[in-house]
Amino acid sequence: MVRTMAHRASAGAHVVRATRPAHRAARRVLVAAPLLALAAFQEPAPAAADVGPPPRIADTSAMDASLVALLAERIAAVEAAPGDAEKRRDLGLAYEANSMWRLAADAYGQAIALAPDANEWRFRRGVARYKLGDLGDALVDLRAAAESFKNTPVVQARLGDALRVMGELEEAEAAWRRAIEAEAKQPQQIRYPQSRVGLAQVLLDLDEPAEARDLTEEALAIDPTYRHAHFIRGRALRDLGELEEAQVALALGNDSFGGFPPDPHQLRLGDSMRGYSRRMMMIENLVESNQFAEAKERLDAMLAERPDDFMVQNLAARVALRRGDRDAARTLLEASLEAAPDEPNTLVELCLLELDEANTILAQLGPLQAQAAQAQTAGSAVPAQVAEQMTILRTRGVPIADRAVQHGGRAAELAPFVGRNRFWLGIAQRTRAGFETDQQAAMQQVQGALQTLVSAGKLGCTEPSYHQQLTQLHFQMGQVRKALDHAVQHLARDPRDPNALQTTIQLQLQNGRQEAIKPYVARLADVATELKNAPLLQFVVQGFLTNQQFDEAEAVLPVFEEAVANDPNGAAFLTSVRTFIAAERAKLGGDQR
Amino acid sequence: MLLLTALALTPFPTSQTDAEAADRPWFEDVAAAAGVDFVNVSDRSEAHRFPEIMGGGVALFDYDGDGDLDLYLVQGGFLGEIAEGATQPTNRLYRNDTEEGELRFVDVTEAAGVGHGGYGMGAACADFDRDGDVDLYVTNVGPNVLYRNNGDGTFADVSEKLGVADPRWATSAAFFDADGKGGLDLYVVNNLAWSDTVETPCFNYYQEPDYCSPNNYNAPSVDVLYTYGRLGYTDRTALGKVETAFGNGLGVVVADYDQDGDQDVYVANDATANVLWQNGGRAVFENVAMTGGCAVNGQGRPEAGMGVQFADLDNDEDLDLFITHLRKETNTFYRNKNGLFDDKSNMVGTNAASLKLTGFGMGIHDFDHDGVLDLYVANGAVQAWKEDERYDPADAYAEPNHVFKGKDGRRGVKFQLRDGDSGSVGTSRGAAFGDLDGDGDVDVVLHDLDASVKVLRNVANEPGAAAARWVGFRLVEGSKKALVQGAVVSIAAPGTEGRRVRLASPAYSYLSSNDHRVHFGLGGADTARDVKVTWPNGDVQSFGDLPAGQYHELVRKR
Repeated sequence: MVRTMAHRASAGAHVVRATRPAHRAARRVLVAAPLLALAAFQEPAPAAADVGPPPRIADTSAMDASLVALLAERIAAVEAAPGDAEKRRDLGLAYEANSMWRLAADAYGQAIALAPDANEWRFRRGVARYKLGDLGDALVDLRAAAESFKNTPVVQARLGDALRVMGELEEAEAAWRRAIEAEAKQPQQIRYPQSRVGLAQVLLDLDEPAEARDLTEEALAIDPTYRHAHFIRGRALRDLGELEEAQVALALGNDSFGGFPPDPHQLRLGDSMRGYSRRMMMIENLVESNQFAEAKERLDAMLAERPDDFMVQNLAARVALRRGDRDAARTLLEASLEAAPDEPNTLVELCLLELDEANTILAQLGPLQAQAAQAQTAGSAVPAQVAEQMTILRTRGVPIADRAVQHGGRAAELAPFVGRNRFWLGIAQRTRAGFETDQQAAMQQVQGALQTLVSAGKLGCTEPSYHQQLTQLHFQMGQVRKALDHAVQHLARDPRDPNALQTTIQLQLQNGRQEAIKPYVARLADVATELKNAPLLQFVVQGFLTNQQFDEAEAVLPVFEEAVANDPNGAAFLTSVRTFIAAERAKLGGDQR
Repeated sequence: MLLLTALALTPFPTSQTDAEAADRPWFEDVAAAAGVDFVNVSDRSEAHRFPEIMGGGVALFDYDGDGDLDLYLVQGGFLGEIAEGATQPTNRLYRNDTEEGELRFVDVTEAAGVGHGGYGMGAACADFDRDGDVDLYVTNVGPNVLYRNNGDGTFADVSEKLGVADPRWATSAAFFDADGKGGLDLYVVNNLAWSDTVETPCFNYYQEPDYCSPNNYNAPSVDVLYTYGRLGYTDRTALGKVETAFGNGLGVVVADYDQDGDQDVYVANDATANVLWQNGGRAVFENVAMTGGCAVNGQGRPEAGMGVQFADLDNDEDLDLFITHLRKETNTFYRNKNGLFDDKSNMVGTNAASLKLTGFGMGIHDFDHDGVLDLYVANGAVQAWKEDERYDPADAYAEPNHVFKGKDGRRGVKFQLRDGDSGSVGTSRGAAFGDLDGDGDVDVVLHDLDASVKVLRNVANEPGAAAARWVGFRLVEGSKKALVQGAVVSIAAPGTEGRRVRLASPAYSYLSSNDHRVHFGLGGADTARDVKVTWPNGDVQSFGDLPAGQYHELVRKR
């Protein structure tokens, strides 16, 4: 209800703003500029010779061969048909795809000169000029393109973005609104989160956070994985004074890319990307999105070209490991180490490979250790088969874990101020402790691992699981306050991590801070509700009951009921909770609702 | 009488001098004539070792206490092996011997004992021991150096003795009172954990070998906080919670941005989120940059933060942030609104210019004394421009610098690029700002990589009556009249009801230490009205009206 009213108030503000004289003046400019620009296009197309030779790079000797070959091919095509605007455009695409904005703009300029009605290339040139920082010229092109492609969301959105950067906010707002309107006119009636977030950004600049927040929430409803919407939502919430919620949203959207609706030329641009670092970047992206088969294919091609390149080998090893092929990973890393023996990153990759192997063995060892402990507790001997299995696993695991420690240690020695290297050494030390038979020796090794990890933090450690690991280790050492401190730091980075939320709640309770769990339980309730995860929901209900938050607990119960539909234990829990709440309410003297 | 007062308060008088000033360049390089013969050696090589492209600090401070600004230049040198027959160049100190407005510097490095030969980065200056003379801290790729001023024209290296010789690669540094005890504590910004072993091949847009982005190393570094006590400096990084956030640090500024009576620290990080250390009051800090709105730009992206300054650009009497960045990023204006910042770069008019070039050193000052802040940005690429795109055929990294004139608008200052007044073309890095020749306007010293240092004398203001439209303040305390930093000076804005505020701190720009004095252009006014100082602990002291055209010493009352 409140949201709706805020939205209405905000819509009212638009009406007021639309009547501002400055706004009307801007409108006149907006209308006039494309007309002028279009008038210029009505000139007859010049002869091919007039547009000049294709733009080219004078010295390509130090450039990547694959990129040079592509450009040579496109330039040759232009030279073979100098009057063909399409060939000039293809050259522009090659330059643009490889971030050579000036050359791209020039090539598009020639295409435009040869085919003045093809405003598609005016759009591309506008984008290139924008990237180049020639914002004034970019706006001329983008305005003209927007006039021609009224129903193409990306064209309106690009214009909106350029206008926002230039501080032409009212006009930017209008362009983004046109982008959203254009979506409705598409045959599929697709709704793009990017357009909503783009508009929200302009509205924030116009000091209208309420509508900005609503738009980002709409964007998240369309695509919950569009992280940039979280960030802009966080900014809106902050402007609205909702600092706690803003903090979570900002963390969720931190370091996210703002995007645009799909660009019709994207595929062709993608096909024209060349060069070592771009190829590596594309492979990294494939790995990030778990597309290992394609990543491997591309890496194989690169390895054929550059068999001694340790960076390619390391990336290929990482992909092999993610695909479960440890042998291939090891072969690649050993070759890599041979190519660059003192490369800390290779040593870390080796350490990771060995940790993967060691942890697999530890996973097998764990249940056996539990069995042995159970037997010892019961006063009986550890079954011989279990003891033998444990010995076999330890014999296999110890040298692997030792090698992990050795490689991690060497990396830390070679680059002593890099926190990441020391982090992996600490993790290796901790893993090694897992194979120790003597409890005291194991605890000493865990203590050593903890010290290494703390020293990694003093240097600055970028590993996402750093605080999580420290939480576990401090907890293992009985240092609850420190564990809690790291759990909270982990949540600042990953505010919706359900495990971290659970750990934090438990640690707060252990620290006697019952009241402090409230915001974490509330956040976990959101996460658990989204996931419809029964154990998490049960934990949440218990968390709410701890602080007698009966209403909140009851709000979660229907989701829990749905999640445990066929589970008698779940049903029993549900009944006991309802009974408990009723009894507590009775004790408190009536229904508090 | 009434008429005269009104004239004096008119903010922007039109005169012959103003019209002329609008056309001619504001700065002229007088380095050679003034005797500054320093040439930077960066050791740029085909190995493309990252620190080679990042150095070039400058410090302006009155080391001999004669009332003018002396010049210290931080040299790079050879990062790898020294070429046969070559010697490692060192940092240099130039004493200011200007007479009757003629700038003149004399190299006194050897006599002063400050010719450090490490691969230098930046410098910070302050009277840390409160003995009435200004000391010098130099950051390096390798152990940093603290030179204590002996008060007789010489310095003593006390880095080891006082425990501030951290061996990691440091960039900018700032002295300030972190714990409110009155001593000057020290914040040292570290870049990444660089060594030859972490160097890695990288490529530019043209897929040619070039310098990396710092994130290619994945080795950002924790900064260091030292607090000063009777026994010297103590590393308070852990206790002060300064290890809880980190990045590839380059710039640092210190101020009480939230006006709660203690000094906060803002660190501009390169390609990692910036850090805003909110001081809990006793040198225990919390990074509030993300919620505070100045960790990343308005789009959520960490930018390549280089130079940084606190200044009130929206004229609302608090301190905003302005940060220089990489090409294809804006130089970002974070507006301070009740202690929360917001990226409002599109308000100040610098976006179009800054997207094209890479900004490093910067200074926001009223260069032309019209009462409105202007902006100087020192630019220089970190990846090579291709031959046909270069601004200097001989230097693939050179870029023109930017001089912006400020105009007061509805929402604060809006900068306008002064076409054709670049001041200089080079691979510019450090830029320090101060009144070198004592004529009341702000000059610039510019440190370009592999080039001669430029001493840019401000010629925007012709000598004479109109030039005296300024006022300057030197803030001191105690019997030794030690310089105070972290205070805010404000005056009644000429012609309006608001106030203009300036931060008294030499730590801003990039790798540089600037004039300790505070400078205001006064438009046409011949008096700075209702001068007030908010001292670092929040105490406010009034000094009434003070005449224009001179520096005033403002003494802190305890």
